[in-house]
Amino acid sequence: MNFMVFKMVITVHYWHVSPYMVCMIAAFVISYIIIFALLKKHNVEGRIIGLSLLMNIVFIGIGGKLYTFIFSYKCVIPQLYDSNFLNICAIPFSSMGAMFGMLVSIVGFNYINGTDSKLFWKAYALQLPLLYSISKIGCLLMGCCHGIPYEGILKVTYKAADGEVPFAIPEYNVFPVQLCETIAFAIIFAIFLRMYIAKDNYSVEMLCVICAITKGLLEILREEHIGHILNINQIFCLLVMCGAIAVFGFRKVKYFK
Amino acid sequence: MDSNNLNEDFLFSDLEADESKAEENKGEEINITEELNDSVEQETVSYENESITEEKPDKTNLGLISFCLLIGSFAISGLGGVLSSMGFDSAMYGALEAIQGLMVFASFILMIITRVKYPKDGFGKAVMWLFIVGLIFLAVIIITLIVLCSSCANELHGF
Repeated sequence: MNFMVFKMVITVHYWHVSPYMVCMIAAFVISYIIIFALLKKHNVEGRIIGLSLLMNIVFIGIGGKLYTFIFSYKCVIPQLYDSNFLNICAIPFSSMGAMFGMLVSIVGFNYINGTDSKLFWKAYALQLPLLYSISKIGCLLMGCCHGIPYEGILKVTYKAADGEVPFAIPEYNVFPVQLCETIAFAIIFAIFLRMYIAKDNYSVEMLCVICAITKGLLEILREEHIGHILNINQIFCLLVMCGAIAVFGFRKVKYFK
Repeated sequence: MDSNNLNEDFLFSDLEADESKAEENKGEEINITEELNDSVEQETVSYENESITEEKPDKTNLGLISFCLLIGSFAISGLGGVLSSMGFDSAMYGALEAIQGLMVFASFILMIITRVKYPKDGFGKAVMWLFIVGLIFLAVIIITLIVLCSSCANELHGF
């Protein structure tokens, strides 16, 4: 049944600019345009939206750098002294820290602004699946975060181009888990975007729970999961899910009191 | 006020509430009176806010403080350069850089507060445009660095 088996061959080059970063920047630009359009539709002033986006950009930058600086201090500091200049650009950027920075910026801006905090929370939370979805395309092109060994429909074969490749790519056929993640989170984004536009009716907790379940289940198909019962990412997903359900329950109890 | 609203009906949209109201409006008058009370409260609140904004002057010192902090950070940067050229140790230079970073951060936060609460303040506008131009310059510098020294960037796993 060879004719039914589609195969993807991805050639990994020595990228001068990593495709992950290009995808990430594209994802941020698209998500900021969508946030602006959604909030403008709900009659929020353009000046206020622009300021919140400015604050978001700056806090994501600071958070991403600060997280690496705090949690891998011993790795970063000798590198900085070796290169003989204390340059912020030399500190690697952490996506976890960027997420915390984003959270702090939304909380801070809602505290300063004082109105429409519900709209801002919903518009920003809606972008999380979109950001993840687009950034996984970069992973697919780079060959990182790849799936389990797999011989079947849509198997991915990685080939190294001439010259060296930044890191090891799998030598066997793997499952296209990055593509699955892209499609799954794009569908989640589309569904919640429709709910936001049509009815303005979705809860951030529900979005968090659905994203955590999807990510936790797709994690099983990744090669990093082999030999683990619960991955570190799955534990994080479980924590997010429990937190979201706890907040949901707390709010519901308070609402019906 | 807003935090209470957020806690109460964060999960339940306005439309859902409207639907439930439409269903309940058939026989119950209590809900209507409650709504009326709510609307009256909202009106009074908005009136109070308006009166407060009318009493407040358009100008505030926050924008000026933010502007001074930004200019002060530039001055400290220059001072650090002079000190290091005169042969002071690097620890002092690092401390000056830390103070400079905190001043820029404080200036940024004050700028956001000024621009949100006092939109007509001139210093707030000036500092905002300085920050936007600075961010654009930073982006251009980083892109130039990546293009020119891509091998270094790949070794550091940075950017």
